[in-house]
Amino acid sequence: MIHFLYLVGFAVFVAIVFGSFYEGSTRQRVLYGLKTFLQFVGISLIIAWILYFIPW
Amino acid sequence: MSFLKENPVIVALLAWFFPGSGHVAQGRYIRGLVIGGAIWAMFIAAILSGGAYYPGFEFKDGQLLFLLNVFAKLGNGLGSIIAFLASVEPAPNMAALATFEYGGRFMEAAGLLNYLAMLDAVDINLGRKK
Repeated sequence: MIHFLYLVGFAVFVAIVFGSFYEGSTRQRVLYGLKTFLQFVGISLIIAWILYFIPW
Repeated sequence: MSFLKENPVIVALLAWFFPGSGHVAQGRYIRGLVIGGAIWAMFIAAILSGGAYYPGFEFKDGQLLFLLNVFAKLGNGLGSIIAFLASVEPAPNMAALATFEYGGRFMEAAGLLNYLAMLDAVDINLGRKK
């Protein structure tokens, strides 16, 4: 469980900073940060499932 | 601050030494506080997880990995000094902590994000960005 919490924490902090760098209105920045966060978590889970089926 | 206008070197040094300060000094208070807050929070999480001790081996063993770690860690500016002081006498069980590696990753990521924040502050100073 702690591994997942660290993953989410990492995604939150990086998404906040990336969202701040984005040029646009506040709403666009928040949406970009949210999108980045979901991509981090979603892609990590997909990769985790792929690795689960690889036998080594 | 007027002396910072068109002085990207000072802005870069300020932004590097204290995450978020490069934006705050140029009047971007909210952006500076958000960026600085996230980077410092990540840094504190890294210290609490034992990341200051990462990678826990000497230069001769790690070489490129070690240098990458040093480069990323140095990005924290003041934080890299704090991390160095915290790692002078590590607890004997530190490398055995479940969060040790995560702390190392957080520490590196915080430093790399601060490099990006530094470049962002310089871009604002040079007028390339609003």
